[in-house]
Amino acid sequence: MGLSPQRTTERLAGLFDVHHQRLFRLALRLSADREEARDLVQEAFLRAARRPGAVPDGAEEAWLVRTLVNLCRDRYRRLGVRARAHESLRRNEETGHPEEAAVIRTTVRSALGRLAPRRRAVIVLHELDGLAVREVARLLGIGEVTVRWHLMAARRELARLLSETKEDRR
Amino acid sequence: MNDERLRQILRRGDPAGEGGGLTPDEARAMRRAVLTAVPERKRRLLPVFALAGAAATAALIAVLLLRPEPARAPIPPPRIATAPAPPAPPIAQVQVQPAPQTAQKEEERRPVHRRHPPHHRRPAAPAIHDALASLETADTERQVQFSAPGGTRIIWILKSGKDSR
Repeated sequence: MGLSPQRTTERLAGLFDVHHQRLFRLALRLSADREEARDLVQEAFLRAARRPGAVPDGAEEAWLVRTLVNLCRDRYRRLGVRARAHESLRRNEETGHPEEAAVIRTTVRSALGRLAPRRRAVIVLHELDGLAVREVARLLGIGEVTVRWHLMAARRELARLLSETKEDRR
Repeated sequence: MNDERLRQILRRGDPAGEGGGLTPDEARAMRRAVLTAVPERKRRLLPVFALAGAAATAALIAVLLLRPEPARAPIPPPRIATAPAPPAPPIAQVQVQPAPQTAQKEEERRPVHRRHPPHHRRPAAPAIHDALASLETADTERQVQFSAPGGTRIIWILKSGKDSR
């Protein structure tokens, strides 16, 4: 895309204003903590800033979501997010929040942290964002059959993980 | 655990549930960082690319201008044999002798007991034919011989008479 720097900046500013909150919520659901989520969102927008021509007109949201999920996958591979999720869970338990909501939140975050990033993105977008299978497929750039397959596997895996956690707490 | 129960648990424990969202300060700082990334990068990299391109162009022009002209092999001229024409065949030296009248008359006088009509007579041998033809114009004859690049040899026989072969 041959936009001038001025136009590129304006376009990027528009993208940021429209999508940053939604993207941050998604990042919170895909990452281990708030700092990581903030880093992921900023990195996604920085990629758009460095290569403005790579962001397709009319499909900016899908591009940003895919970039965010890919960043999660990179981080998942590089830093061992599973270990970080367990650490986060342990830390939260140690601080001791007796409220049930906090316990559930910690449990869910821990269980989501055990899923592979793409599977986690599929279940989060479908179950928490409430998007249809077709929309999830469009945003992630994969087939609907693949989305359904990931959903089925993620539900089975989450049910097992949450049951295990409940057993451990007793 | 069925799907509905799982969905309820996920929504109750949604990581983005409690105070999800960037604070205005966080959003402002992130926005600034993102928007300043575009022009900074351009300012930093554009002169580098421009300088590199100009240097490469200058080097290319210099190489093209200063390159020594490669020695070209001279084109061989067409080979034309200048050997003198070989002497005419001995038969060509024979002077044309008018046929003796006596023989002709004798033939006319011969009875008509020919076994074959004259047009059924076998054609004369090529050597004889050539000899007769050369007898007709044997006075001046020249040959020009060419040797074509492919090795074909071309011989022109030039005669001062009516025709040439």
